[in-house]
Amino acid sequence: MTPEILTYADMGLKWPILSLLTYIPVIGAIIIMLFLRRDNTIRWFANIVVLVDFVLSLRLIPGFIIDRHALQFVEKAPWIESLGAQYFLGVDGISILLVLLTTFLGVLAVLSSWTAIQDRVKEYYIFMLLLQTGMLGVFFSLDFFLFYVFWEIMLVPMYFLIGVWGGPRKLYAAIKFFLYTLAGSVLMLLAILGLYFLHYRQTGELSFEVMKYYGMDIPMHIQRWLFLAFFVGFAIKVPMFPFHTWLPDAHVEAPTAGSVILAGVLLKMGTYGFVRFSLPLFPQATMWFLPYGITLAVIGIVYGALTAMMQPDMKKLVAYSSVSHLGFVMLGLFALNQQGVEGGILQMINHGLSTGGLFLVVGLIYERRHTRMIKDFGGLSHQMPLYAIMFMIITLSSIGLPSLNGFIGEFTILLGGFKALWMKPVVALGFLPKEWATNMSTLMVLLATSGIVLGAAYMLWMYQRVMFGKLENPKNMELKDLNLREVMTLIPIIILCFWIGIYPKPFLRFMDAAVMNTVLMTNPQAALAEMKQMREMQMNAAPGQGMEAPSGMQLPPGHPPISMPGQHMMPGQQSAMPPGHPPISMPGQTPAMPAGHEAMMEQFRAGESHGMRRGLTFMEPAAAGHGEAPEAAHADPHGHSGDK
Amino acid sequence: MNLLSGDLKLVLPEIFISVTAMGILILGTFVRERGRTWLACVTLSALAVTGYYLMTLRSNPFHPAYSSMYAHDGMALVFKMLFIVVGILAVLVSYDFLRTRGIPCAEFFALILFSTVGMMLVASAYDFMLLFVGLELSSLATYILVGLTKKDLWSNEAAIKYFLLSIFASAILLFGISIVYAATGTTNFGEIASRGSDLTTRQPLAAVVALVFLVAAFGFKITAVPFHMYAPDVYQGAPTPVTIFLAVGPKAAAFAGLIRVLGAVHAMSSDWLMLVSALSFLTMTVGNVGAVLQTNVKRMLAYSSIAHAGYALIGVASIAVDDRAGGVFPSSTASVIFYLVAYTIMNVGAFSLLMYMRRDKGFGEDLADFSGLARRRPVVAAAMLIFLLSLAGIPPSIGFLGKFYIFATAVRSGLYWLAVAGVLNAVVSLFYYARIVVYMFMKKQERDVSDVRSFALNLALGASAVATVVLGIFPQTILDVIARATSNIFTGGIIQ
Repeated sequence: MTPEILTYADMGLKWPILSLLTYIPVIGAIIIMLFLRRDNTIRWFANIVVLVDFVLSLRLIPGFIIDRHALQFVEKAPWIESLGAQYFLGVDGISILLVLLTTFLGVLAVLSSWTAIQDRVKEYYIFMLLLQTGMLGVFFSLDFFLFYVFWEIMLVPMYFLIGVWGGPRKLYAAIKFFLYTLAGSVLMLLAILGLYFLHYRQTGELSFEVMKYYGMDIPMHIQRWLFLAFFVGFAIKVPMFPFHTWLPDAHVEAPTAGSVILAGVLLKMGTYGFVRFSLPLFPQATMWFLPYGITLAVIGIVYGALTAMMQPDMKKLVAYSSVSHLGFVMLGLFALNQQGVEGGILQMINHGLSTGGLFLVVGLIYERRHTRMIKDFGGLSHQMPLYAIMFMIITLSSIGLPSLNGFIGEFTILLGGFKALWMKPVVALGFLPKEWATNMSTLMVLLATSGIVLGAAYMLWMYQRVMFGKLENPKNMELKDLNLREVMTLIPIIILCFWIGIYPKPFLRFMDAAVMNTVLMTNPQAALAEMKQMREMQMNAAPGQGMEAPSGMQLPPGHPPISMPGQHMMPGQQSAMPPGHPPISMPGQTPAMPAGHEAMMEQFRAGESHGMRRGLTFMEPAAAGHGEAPEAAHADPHGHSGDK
Repeated sequence: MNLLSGDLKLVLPEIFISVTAMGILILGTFVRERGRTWLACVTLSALAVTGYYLMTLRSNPFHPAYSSMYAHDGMALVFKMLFIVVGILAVLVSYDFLRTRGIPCAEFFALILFSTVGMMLVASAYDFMLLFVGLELSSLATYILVGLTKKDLWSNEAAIKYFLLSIFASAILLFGISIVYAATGTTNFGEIASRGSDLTTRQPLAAVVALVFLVAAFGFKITAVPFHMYAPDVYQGAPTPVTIFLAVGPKAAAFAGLIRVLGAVHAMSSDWLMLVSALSFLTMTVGNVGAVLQTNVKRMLAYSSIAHAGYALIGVASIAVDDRAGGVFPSSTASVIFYLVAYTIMNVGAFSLLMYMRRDKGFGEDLADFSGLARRRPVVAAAMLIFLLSLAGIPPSIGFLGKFYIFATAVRSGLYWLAVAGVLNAVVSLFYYARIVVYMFMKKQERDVSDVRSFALNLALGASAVATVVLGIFPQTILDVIARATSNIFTGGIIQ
């Protein structure tokens, strides 16, 4: 299932854009380190560097191919040959939004530090820029070795940002952050090495290339261990309950910009790791772990929300709300269907925007008053009307009010969750009676839904206590409303919140093909059942007609048109687009037929799927007349069908 | 007959360095302290010339010289080059130290050179006799070096401790050798390897006892737990340049000896895997836990160097199962050597930081002395940061690659438990390395310390900092050298 690889040259670029994006910040940091002395020069320079990086990252959008899963803008060169490590960068539908989020939040975080950081300015901006490089590198790397290098590099600047510019308990928080994440990642390193040697024994090739590990035949008992090692690494980063305890400490002590980056980007690396690595690499182990994963995600949602409600400190409240929101993301990912995973990825972006925004907002008031305790405030909306409006919008976006981004993400996730869990015995926890499984799964989605209500409760309650009521505390009487720079840091977030909330399709379309590929690899049963369902609906609605879903159909927002290959192909289309050789479409132009699916189905026919290894019958006999897949499954040349 | 042909050509480096050392001793009596720069230059250039000569020597094929006493192979060459680098760095870091402490530099340089010769002999030893001679030569020189600051009580204590325990270890080694000799009738590694298998059937107990004694003796030299007790005291008490030399040079030499001896006795008793694995686990864990408790940075680094010996031992343990795994991936021996190279570079750097701050009459070696260093001397602090991150195994650094390589070897050989123990130890180690970082970067200056400025020291520090990063990102050359070197080494009964 190796996706197509398009290098930057193939895509008509002269420069290796991904390397540029990754190293512009670090070059900026070196220039600051060596040449710049005055604080204000450094501030200007750092802002320009991140802005240039952001603008350059927008260049990824126009050329991006969305109608099929392809690794794009790829740079690939041997690095450490004797170990098989490569310098392999690329983006696809899963990572591109996260990359854009990273460069975007980078600009805001650096801009927001202008007055907040007065001490050791030079070092601060150096670490901010280094952090940017590390994060971009993580999202770009498609070679495990390189990925791991960036994954760990990133910890160091964050450690310093918390430890030097943090609050009163900064040293404790910083080392806790560092040790927790390192403990998770070293176990992941061993799992990577395990995969590496397994791959080597199967193919005789030393390689860390992630895509080469996809579709490897890993025995179940090994797969479980590897999955668990990856799980610990990523779950600590997400953080999933019960690995979340470092997060409130780190968030509370970190400076505002550090919190923004931490919540906005760093936490996403865990969830990104699940989508990119855990799910497609270990499909069977994922299935095995699913009940526990879903349970932990739901516990995280409810526990995070309840804990958030009790926090007297605004920043800690937002930190616990992150635990809850990321529980949603994990629930979406573990739903293992198109909606769930897409919702999960979209919610990563949403969370980055809303929570990043919340941290900025809290940071603004902290900078003025040097306290974040809710009880110190009250009635601020009289004194700072502009601030109150911004805060309100971001709060509502975090709650998930329709027409704002949070709604789309949570709705899509819950849609996927209901589809996967409602009245289905998925959450079959080993220690509970079997007959409870169906009820358990249903309970899980219901509990998750309650998380939205709880979310509204704690956020609005906080807003009420801070903003409304009488302006009583004399220290708050003097507060100034936002200045232009501060508004400028919030406006872009608010625009994006509305954009995603009102018209999420452009965002979702980026990931359609890539997510579909991931789902197909991890949970082919669901992917194919969905395709089949769509096809039947199409046939009922307009027999023999076009490939796109009819307008009245219950498609999730931005869902790609789904079709069965080889069926009802218009003669003209068939000649224009031979199967397996999809055309390159211009951006913004909806392809008449998602050719990527075609290729996937081809691979299925070739008997390469995990589903077949597991011996799943993923097509009803009724479908046999329409496709050759079942015959192919029976005639599986590798004889994996009975292999459990 | 041409004198420089044949076997003599191979031992030329050892001869050359020995002659230089004696020359420096004699020269030292004439030039006294005025000529210290000259003496240092002579020492450095002798080492550099030897290094260059070693590079020109070809190691193929494996060639036992001098009635099979002296192995001339890739491993020996790589180790010798490493010792040369250690020697050069030791001279650089000691230059200004000797002046301020009034230590006669001719003695110091000569002793460093003698010890280097001893280590080179160990790396080439293909016979227990030569091995023992090499180890003793190297050790005798270091006994004196440790006690070189004659009026410093700490230094005296360290020297006595080191001497007594080291002699004890030598006795154990001799005992082990004598059992092997009694059982096989030879001290030659090659012959032991070929005859060893009969011994196991005839006298299984003798084989095991010999193995335990040999491993214990080497365990002492490489500061493996439970033979590590002396190390923190000796490392702390010895003059810092000597500590640097001691922590990297003789330790690496002992690893070379251990690999050879284990290869030789493998046929005799092949169940050393458990023994070495257990040593490795204990060494890592005790070293790291011990370091966590320290407030003196020198002592902390001493414990950390114990822990690092433990990581390297993971690689040694994997050698036992190399024949099972095999494959294109570089051998376990290569991973040990690479780890030792990494260890040398970053430890020289980290230890030399201890000579940058001066307090009262000595050096500022406490954690508190490091407070506020980043403000005062940002470049030095940044260099220390690089070394500490590298020691903790954070990329991009040679320390990360070394650990990566060692853990990869362990995973390949199926020593999963050891790999897990290793990575968790790396996490523990980060805790105390980060404490130094905290003091340097996150605390205000607490102690009144004055800064030392020394060109030679800066040179050593800068070179190791650059090497730590650059070799961490572009290690291909050095990996190639090591891979080529270990492709034709003698490892006795173990198929490489």
